[in-house]
Amino acid sequence: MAKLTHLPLLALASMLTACKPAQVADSSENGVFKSVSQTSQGLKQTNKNYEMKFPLDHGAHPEFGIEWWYLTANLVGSDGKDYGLQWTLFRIANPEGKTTLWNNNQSFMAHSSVHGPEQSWFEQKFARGNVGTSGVSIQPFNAFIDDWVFNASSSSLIPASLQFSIESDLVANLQLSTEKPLVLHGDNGYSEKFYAQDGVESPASYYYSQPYIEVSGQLALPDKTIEVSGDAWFDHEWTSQVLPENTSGWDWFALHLSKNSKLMLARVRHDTQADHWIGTYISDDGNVFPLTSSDIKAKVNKTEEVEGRNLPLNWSISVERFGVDLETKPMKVNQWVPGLVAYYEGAIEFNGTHTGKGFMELTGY
Amino acid sequence: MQLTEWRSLLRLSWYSYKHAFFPLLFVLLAMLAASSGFTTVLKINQTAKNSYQSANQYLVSGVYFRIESRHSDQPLTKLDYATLRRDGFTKLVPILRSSQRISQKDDANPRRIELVGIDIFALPASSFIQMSEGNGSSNNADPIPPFWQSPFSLIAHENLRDFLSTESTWFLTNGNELPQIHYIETQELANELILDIGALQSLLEVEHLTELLVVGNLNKAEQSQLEAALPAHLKLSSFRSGDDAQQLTGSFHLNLLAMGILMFVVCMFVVMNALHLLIQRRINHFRICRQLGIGRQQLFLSLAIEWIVVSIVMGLLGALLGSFLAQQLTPSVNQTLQGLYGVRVTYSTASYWQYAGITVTANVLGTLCALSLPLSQLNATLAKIRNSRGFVFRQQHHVWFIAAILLAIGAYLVAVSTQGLFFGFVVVALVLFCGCSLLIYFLPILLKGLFKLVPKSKVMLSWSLADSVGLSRSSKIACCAFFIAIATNVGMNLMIDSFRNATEQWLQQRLTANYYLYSEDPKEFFAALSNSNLDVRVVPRQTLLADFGDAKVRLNSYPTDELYQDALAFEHSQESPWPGFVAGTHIFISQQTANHFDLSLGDKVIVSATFPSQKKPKLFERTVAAIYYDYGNTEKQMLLPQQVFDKSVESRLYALHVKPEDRERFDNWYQSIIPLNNTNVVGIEQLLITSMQTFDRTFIITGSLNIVTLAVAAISLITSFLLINQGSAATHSLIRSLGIPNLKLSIWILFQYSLIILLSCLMAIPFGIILSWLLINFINVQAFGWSYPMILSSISVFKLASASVGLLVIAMLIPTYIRAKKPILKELKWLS
Amino acid sequence: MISVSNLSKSIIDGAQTKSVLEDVSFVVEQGQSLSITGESGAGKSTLLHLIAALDKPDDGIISVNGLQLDKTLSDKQADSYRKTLLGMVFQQFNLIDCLSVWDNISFTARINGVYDQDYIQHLLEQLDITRHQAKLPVELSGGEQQRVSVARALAHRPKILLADEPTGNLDDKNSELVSELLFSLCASTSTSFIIVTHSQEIARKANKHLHLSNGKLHAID
Repeated sequence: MAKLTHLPLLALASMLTACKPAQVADSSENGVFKSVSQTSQGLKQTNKNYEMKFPLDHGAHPEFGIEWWYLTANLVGSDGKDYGLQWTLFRIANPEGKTTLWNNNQSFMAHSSVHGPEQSWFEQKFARGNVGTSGVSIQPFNAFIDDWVFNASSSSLIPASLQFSIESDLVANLQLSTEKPLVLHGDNGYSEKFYAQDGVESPASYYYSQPYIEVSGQLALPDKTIEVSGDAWFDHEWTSQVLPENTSGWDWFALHLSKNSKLMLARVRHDTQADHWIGTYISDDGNVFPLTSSDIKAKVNKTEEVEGRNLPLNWSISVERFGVDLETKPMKVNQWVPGLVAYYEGAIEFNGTHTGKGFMELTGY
Repeated sequence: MQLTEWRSLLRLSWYSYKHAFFPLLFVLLAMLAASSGFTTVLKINQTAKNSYQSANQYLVSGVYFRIESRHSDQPLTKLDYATLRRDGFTKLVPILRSSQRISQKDDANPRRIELVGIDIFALPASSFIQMSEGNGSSNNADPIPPFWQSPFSLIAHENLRDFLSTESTWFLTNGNELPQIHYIETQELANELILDIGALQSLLEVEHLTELLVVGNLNKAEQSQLEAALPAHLKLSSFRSGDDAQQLTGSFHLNLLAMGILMFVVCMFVVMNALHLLIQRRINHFRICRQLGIGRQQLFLSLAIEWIVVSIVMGLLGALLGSFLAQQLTPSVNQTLQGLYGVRVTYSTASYWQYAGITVTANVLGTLCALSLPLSQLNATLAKIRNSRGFVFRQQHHVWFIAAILLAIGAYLVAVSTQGLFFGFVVVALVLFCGCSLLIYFLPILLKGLFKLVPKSKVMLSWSLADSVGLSRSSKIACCAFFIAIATNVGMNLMIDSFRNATEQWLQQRLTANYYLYSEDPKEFFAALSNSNLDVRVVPRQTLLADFGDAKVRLNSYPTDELYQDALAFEHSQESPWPGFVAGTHIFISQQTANHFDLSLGDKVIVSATFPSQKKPKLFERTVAAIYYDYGNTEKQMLLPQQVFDKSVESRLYALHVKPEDRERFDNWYQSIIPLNNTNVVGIEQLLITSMQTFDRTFIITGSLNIVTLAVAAISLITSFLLINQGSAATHSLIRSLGIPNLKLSIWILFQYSLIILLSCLMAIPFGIILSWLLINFINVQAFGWSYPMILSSISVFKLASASVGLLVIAMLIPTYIRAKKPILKELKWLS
Repeated sequence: MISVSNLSKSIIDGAQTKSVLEDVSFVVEQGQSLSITGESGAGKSTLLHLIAALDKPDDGIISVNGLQLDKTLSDKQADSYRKTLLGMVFQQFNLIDCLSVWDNISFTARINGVYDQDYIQHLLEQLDITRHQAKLPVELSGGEQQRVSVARALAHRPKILLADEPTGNLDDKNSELVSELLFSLCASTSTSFIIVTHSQEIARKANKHLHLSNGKLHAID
């Protein structure tokens, strides 16, 4: 599913570059997310007929407005505790930006966060393109910002190592492996975010995932080192088109239903019209099934106040078509990401027809 | 005393001021001048101190270290920066700095300003977010406009608006146009223009960096770790700590403070004088109050309360005015500090109430001190204390002579037994007060002596001399203020003239080449030079920082041919110092080095320096053969022969010797190759002019303060005379009634005043000369470690003295003329 | 000789013009003495100022030894008249406090170039202030100071001596002494003497006595 979380970064782009949306965002979170309902001029647009090619498409697509390489991981520590981990590298293009001897018209932002039962760690970084402090290459695949490095051993995405530190409080050193193929969302990776309106096609992105990652490694804290292992989900998405007008945000889920079956769901919330659900179900035998709104039934069971916002943290989700009926709850209540663009990104647990873990992302609240 | 009585007393005071308008006005103006001058100095010093302590560099706070290249051959690059960040040293901010001459179209007057390029994406995330969201980078600062976005713009401090004149477009010497300038109020900017690093690289057409700022203080382990990670061509160095910068600039700030205090003291003299006159004008009111049963203590208390309130109000107003003046002067002061000491001074702010509090307190205390003498005289008057005037005069009068001797002894003892700049100023103060005591003692004696010499047949001359004895006593406070102002002006002017003369001669002697090249990367210049057919002798000035014990000294190369031997002026030298210098057994040290380390001729020194081409330091064991003049240099410096330095030692300064007949060709050739990046060639004539202009600019502030002080003292003296003149109305009326024409009488009165002014001035001159000697050989040595020959320019002294006296006399012509026109009938009332 | 004919003088008092002297006429022969009395504000001092050429009359003429003191008199002529022909004694002693007694006395004489040491010595003896000649005025009593001012007024042998309340600040004893000295010295030097006084006793000592009332002069005897 599209990491719609990151689409508001077009608004971020407007802060970092001279590219301002036609409707000026206010400084509130809602304003930021509302403002993504704009189209960026001068950038390449997505095309239904595009065919993804790998390893080429693991790399950056600078002609598109926004792009991210996104890892979430549900880890269990040697201390017996659960840890939710997120590592993201964003790329933002400014078509009006000037290329100088120092930099080009690209900017990078990165988020690292780890949530434990009692403690949370977070850091964000910024960089400019062509300076050498951030970038993505494909032979082998390498995505980095300063000393935060996602480093594959070949041009394939995985196996790879991920190293990052959060201030001087936590150092993560993880090994990623998989034996499963990539998953292309939507129509061969062409992922529409909403339904067509008034004859206008829905905005879309190119989106693929690697949901079958096994993680092992260490989290080094000032007073101890914790061995960790678990499952991770990797997303890569790029686009220049944003959501339609009057959408206030989205809720997204990435669920490890079992060792082999995965579920991705996302709800785009509209101010006046009905919300729109999209998703992808990956079966035990590896078949990929795009989901529509009619396939998905979801209900908020509990709302909690987090950082002054009322967030829907507990859900009932069912995809009857595939026999999925779940009750979800967060690993812990406060898994807020206090970045320049702030949102909720946290590890969740679920039970019902399936028991397992995953990640939930809530934006625009 | 009841409240109604207090109110009546104060109301009486208030009404009485209608009849004593000018003395009152003068007290207020003097207090205003005192507190504003004091505040100006306090604020300038405090904001500089805040700047030093802030550890702020170019919008980045908490910076104590930087990474820079060791040699211009291998500059700091983007790759170096990226590599370090990828290695985990993420708290680095890249900076490109360049001092550039900018000019407007058709403008023959280019200005020099520092351009600073920064990549704000390198800032710590919180700082970056704050700036990118348009918030100021510190509290209470203006929002910083997005200068890093295209279209690029520049930011500068509001104080530079006048300097840069917003309507115009500025161009670099390479013809590139500077972006639009936005002016903001922020504590973090100095005399510089900040822009995006990429934009600056494009403007200058360079790719290298100047430095990487290290954000956050590093402990020893972190320093070692970072140093180990640096490639060979880079080094880690520390910025001057706040304490270092304060120490380095301490003498400058102390000098400024001393000037402010001097102005304050002179103004307090003026206040004392005016308060005395005010009280005398209201003496009858006080007598009537006494007759009505109001006690002396109550009277004095009411006066004290009155003047405490006034001094508080004037102190606050003066602090406001001083704050404004400081703001106007800050750009020049910052430029001076940067130029003299190499410290970057930002436009920090200081709390108004902090220095207003100090100023008001000083004003109140000063006023109470100033009030003490007039009150004691009032006390004597009201108590009807009468003594034989002659006897009392003689007895009291000797006190001044005794005081003068004691002050002179005190000054000598402090001078020989203490060290430090503060005590230097104490000596100066004691000498000035000694002079005042001698003035008070000798002035009436001189006048009385003149009276006795003049034959009685010269009736009016005789009378005017006799009368001036009393006049000098009545105006002694004002005369003292004038004396101090003249002595200070003479002293400062002689000091500056001596310094100027010494500097000019030293420069003319030392600068032997026709041209001087300054370049961070001269390859392009030398390549072009070798392609021309010009015969130019190039002498590099190589420089190396070396260890001398626990301290650092700068080792400079020096050629040893005859031309350069003649150019080096020694303060002291052994007989034939050059052979040993050339042979490598002797060393030359600068005057400030000798003073700082207490070195003399014949002393052995061991200096250790690491050449870039070598891994281990090299030891130089030498004997001091000569101590040379090095005016204005705050560094401790030593010279070694040119041949000691290998090519790896950095040089950014080159002397170019061009044959006189080739100079025009050289000029034409140079014009044809410019502009060159970061390269500047200056002819010796222009260098001398610019140097002396810089010299003159340095002393503008102290010069201005001197003139203001002199003006205040002079106005005080004139006003004293005019007001005392009114007290002599009865005598003048009598003389007129005896048949002396008014004009003649007025001329004789003018003569009296002129004589007192002249004698005060003449007595001040020797003290001014002493002051100059103290400033050069005592204060300057304590502050900077060097001195220079004192030149006693009688013309300069004569000019100043005659100008001061002449202007005062001319100023007195107007009231004299007004007086001369007064009909006798109006004066008759004094006879009844 | 002093001849005053039809002398009138007005002053501006706020918005009104007040007549101070109205058609005053009298003659004082050389060597004669004249006393003028009157209540406060009668115009006595004004009359004296006019005779001293310190002010100018509105109407009338004052003639002193042929010199006309009228509106046309220049400042230079007035100064010269006061310097050479006139001596004045004031109620306030008005000595120059920075000069000694001797120098005070000889001041006008020296200005006129008629300094006569012996004559001044004689005056000192007559006034009994010889022992004070080197002192400063502040060292003398009130009576002594007034005697010094008398000596100063006579030291240049003026033709006329004007005295405006010379005993006003003195006690009875000194008043008697000073007034007596004034009359006798003037008589002995043939100096015309005009004295303004409140004291009837002193007034009677003069050859003539005139009384000023509301600006008009009345002869007493």
